[in-house]
Amino acid sequence: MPMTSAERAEKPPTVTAPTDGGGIHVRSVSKVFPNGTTALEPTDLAVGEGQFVSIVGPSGCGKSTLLRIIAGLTPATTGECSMPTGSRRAFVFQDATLLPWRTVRKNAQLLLELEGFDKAERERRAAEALKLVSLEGFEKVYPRNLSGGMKMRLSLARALGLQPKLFLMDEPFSALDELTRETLQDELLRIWSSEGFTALFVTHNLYEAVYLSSRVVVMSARPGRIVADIDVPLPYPRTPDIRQAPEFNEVSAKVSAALRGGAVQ
Amino acid sequence: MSTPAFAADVAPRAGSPVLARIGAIARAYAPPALVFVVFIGFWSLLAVTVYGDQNYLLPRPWDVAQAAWEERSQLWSATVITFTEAAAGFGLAILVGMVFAVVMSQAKLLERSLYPYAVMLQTVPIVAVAPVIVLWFGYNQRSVIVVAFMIAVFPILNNTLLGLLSTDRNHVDLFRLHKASRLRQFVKLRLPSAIPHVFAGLRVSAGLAVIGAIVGEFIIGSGGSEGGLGVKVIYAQGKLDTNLLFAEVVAATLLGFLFFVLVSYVGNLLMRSWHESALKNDV
Repeated sequence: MPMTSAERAEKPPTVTAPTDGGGIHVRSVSKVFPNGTTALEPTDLAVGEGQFVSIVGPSGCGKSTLLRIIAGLTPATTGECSMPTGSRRAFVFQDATLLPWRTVRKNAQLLLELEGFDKAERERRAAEALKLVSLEGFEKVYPRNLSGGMKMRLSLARALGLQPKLFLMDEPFSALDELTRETLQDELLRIWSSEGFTALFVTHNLYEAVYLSSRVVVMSARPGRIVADIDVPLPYPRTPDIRQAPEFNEVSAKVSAALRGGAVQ
Repeated sequence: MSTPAFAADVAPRAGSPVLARIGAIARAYAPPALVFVVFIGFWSLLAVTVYGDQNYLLPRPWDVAQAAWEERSQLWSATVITFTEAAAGFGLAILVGMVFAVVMSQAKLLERSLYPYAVMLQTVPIVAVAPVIVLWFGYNQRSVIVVAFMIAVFPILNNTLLGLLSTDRNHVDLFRLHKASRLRQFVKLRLPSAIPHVFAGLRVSAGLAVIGAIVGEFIIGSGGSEGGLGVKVIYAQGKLDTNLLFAEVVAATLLGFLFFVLVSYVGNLLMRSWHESALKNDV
């Protein structure tokens, strides 16, 4: 889609002030689109360093908008976001957004190239990241020859190569089949526990949110706002059998109720 | 779907790789060759029966072949002249078309300002402006090249522009997120993702450039000492030499086809590993 001239002129938007601790602090951030729709009411959110927090909500609740504002992709109408100075952010889109003319190896190096890493460092980090997502041996393959799950692994590896402090994910597994999704959820948790980044994960799947996170933020639409902030008291590391645990179902029921409550209003 | 990662799936099943290769070539070329045989057969039948005593209307294929053989040196030199003019016009069209597409892709204002005139370049009746072209460039090959250029430039410009403007939104966001400069974004993202569109335009323009060169020669006429295929066509028409006329038409057609094949070949080299349009071994 061609960009309008207004979008071309757009500057990276959000004021990013340094904070003492790690993590993200969102203060009364709101978004009103030029056509007057309120995508997001003034919202506050704090995510502690190293936490894994999910945002769930129906489509149109502003969850992706909030994530894009935090990433610096969309300017906020009011408010500000802050995160530790110099902390590297990585963003994973719903679609793997690979460059089809680059091999797996070159795709894994893309962001490192853009961020100005030298060749040796790029090679080293990309190889490491590919190993982390079990894609070693596929370096010379082009994305079109990868399955949906492998494409998403590569997309994760591309972001992991940056060794981000903050990992933002916008429904990254929603296009995958159930089995692949569950495998990738486990891989993501394993990588998160070894790498120790702060993770903010947007999804519309409440079970995915509960399984992954230590906290689930529930949002509601029209206008977009946070309606609940629910702790998940399940210990890490988590394994698939945790889905049968009574605590898991309890939390899921709570999230589900919050989602329905939000929808009714 | 076959993948290099699972190369065993695409390895030839036949015992000998040479035999397998010959088999693959036969499978690729047999269908058009069969069409050719049927076409020549039908033409021969028509030329012998219906037009049996009016071969100046439809010559027999072997007479055309004979005429081509007898006039081979003339036909060859005319083809070379037309080829040179078409190549020059095509080259100019690539250069100008792509430069303007890049300029227009930089800002909506530039696109809006220039696009209508690009369209007009396409819609202006070339025969009507031909006298002006001759007035400016003279009765020579330069005018022919200008005509070839004018006919070939629009598809290149239009498709390149479309390609440069249809970069995936998320890819642009990704580059923006990592603070890629406009130049980097252009080199690493917009240009490569436009390649399939660029070659779609080039394939159309390749044939058009040859047509443009012949139309140009037709208009300019025999101004120079030697002429290309367009000039020879006029001569043959004047002498009512249908055999030679047909031979020249075949030569011109093959020339356009050669252009198309060359462009497709280059496109394939650039895109074979990643773009759907250039992939062959999909089962």
